[in-house]
Amino acid sequence: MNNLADAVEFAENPEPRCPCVLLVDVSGSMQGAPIAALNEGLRAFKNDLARDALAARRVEVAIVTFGSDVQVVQDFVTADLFEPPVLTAEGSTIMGTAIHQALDLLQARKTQYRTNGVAYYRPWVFLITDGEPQGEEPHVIEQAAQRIRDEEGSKRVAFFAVGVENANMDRLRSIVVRTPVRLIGLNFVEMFVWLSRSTQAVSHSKVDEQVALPPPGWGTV
Amino acid sequence: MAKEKKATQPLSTWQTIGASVAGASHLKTDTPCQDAHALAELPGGLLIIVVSDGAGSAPLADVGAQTAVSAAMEYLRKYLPTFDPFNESEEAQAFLTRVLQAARNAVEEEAENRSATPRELAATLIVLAVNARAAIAAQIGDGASVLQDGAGQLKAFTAPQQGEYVNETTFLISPDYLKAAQFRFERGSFTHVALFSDGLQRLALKLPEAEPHAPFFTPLFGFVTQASEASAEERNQQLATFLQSPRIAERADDDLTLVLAARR
Repeated sequence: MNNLADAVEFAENPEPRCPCVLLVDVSGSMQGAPIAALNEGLRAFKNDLARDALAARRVEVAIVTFGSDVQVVQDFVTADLFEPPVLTAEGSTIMGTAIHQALDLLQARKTQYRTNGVAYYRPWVFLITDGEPQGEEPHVIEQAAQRIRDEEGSKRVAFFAVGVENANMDRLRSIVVRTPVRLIGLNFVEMFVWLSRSTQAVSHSKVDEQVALPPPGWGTV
Repeated sequence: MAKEKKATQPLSTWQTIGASVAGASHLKTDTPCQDAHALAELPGGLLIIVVSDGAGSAPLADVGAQTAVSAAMEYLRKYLPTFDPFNESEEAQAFLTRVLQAARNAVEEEAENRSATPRELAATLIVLAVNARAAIAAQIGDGASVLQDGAGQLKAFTAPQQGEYVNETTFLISPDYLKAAQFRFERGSFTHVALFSDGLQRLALKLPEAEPHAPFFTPLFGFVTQASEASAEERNQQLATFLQSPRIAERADDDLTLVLAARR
């Protein structure tokens, strides 16, 4: 039977992708301990994903930061090739513009997947903030919130929000559909390990879209 | 948990092997194998094969898959020889629709017996029958079936059926299951048949065109036909061992089912 295992060749299909955008608040208030803890969390995220060979080839990470401007710090890359950046914090909190940027990025990525015949899972956005929208016109965040509602409604995205320290949780609740979670202390490492495990679970799922996520031990609702 | 179909009668026209094995991810989480399959040869060189893949998220998926397979097999054994739906497409579809309905009814009934919702028994279903004149098949959800004709031409008879996202599919218990089902009818004398669950489809087919990958099928079909002193059970076990080999586990961590048949 070893002969059979050697004789049979497999079709070469690209691995299906599970895209995940980290949408990170790098406004001035994140300076110091919070941004340092977040950077450590990013490294833990990378290391934990790398332990799962299949997930490392399927989970794609992109990082969009927002302070006084919005930057795509990391365009989509599979977890095995992801090199965690070191983020620095300053400026205000143009969250609405950043949400649009993240959703645009996902839309473009899905188009690329389809053009290249790559199957994919429902994308995730993971918004991390310690404040509330600032420094942009009110309609920008209103439109962004509406877009989240539309895209969640049509299952185009799963949009999660995490509040750090003094984040305005009421304001966050008005922006995202899913209940935001408040991070306990600066436990970013635990949060990112959870995110890694959750995306691993999704990237291994095959026949149904409902994947039970492990309970977040790092936050409170 | 490897589950193989035991050959209960000497097969005259067809040589067959089949295996369902738990995937690496199921072994990690201690989930049972949620795939099921069965096959039989009826008089007149009529071969029937049924494969079902229980939904990973459904708690009673293994029960759902086994119930669907048993019910479809029972219906086929009982009515296929009488109806002989191998003459034209409409008649094949009408017959296969009744097979799917019988399987769905059985799953709904089993859910009720267990005070569960049908959703908890969610599973896909592929049903295929072939005689000397034609092949017919129906499929709900992903997985696929492949035919090879006398000239050695491979074709996907039914193909994986997916939504926008790779982990979405339709199940036998879905409300629109008959609308979502694929029905196939093809005249011809087919020499080889393969059915497999979605765990293998990325290795066996070039996607998204669903074109059978010949270097995958040729050695496997060769294995079915090759003379062997091994019993049917031993050969099924050999296939199960192949499905659990590291090369496959590396590329596919889901439950795997593969059923192969070759005309003598």
